[in-house]
Amino acid sequence: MDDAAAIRSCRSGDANAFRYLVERYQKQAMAHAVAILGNRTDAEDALQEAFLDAYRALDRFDEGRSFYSWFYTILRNRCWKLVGSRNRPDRAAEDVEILAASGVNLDQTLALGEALARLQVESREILTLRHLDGLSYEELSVRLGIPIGTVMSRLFYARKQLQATLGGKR
Amino acid sequence: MTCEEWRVAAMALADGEMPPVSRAAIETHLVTCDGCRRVIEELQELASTWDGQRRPDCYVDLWPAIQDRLGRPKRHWLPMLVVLLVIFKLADLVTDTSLALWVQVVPVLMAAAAFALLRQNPFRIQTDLALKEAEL
Repeated sequence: MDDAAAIRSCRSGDANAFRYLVERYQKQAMAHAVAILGNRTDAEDALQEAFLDAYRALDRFDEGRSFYSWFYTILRNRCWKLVGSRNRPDRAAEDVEILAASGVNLDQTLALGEALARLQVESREILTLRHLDGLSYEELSVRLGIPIGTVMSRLFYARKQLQATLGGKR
Repeated sequence: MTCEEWRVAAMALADGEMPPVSRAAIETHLVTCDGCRRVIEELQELASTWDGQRRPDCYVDLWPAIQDRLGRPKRHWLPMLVVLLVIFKLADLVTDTSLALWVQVVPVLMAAAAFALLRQNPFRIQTDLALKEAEL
């Protein structure tokens, strides 16, 4: 089965076909939700709601698009709703892994992860999408729903913010 | 253009993207502006700290919870309650007392039967899901 077949089955009333999409994308989406929200509990809540939103909106899904790119918009909306409903400004500083080292200095990973957790949500999101997922400016523009010029400046200021945060720790 | 705009454009160029000004113009500015050159060097060095980093594997199994919510029947208890109340009210209007009694008793028996059926968990709702999540 592929995404298109699963979506067609869901549209024809087979809710179990949605399992394929959930199981295929849940880990990736969870990592993205954690990067936005900074804690696992909220990320799981947002993710579950986002999958349900996506299932209900599948009729409106344009098959010319990538499913995950479309789903990310829904997930992002859910995450931002949670961010907006928090009593505290940000819970990102909780002990949660935003990064994982693969053959690099563990101290560097910890320092970077900690600095990321202290950034504004928007900065953390764009930096991780750029550097961990390798999205181009055009892809970032589509994913975040902002013009390329805004991607350019937002990324620049996010880097400056990260630099200041890392510098402050040193 | 301000220095800040040159810096944004220079970083876009360093990322391999197409900034709104030409490469030559950016390079010329960086040759003449020490401040911008230093900022760009620092940010490029910062970019190298991402080398070898990846997103952590976030184990999660949402399907049982999602399946439960997808398969959950819609709650029709409120309209059913209204219907029952209407039936009870109509029963008051029925002159034949034996019929009125049946009209009142049957819905209660049906509700009791439905309750007994639901206790058997016929929809296989996973009541241990919260426990599993807590264990994780």
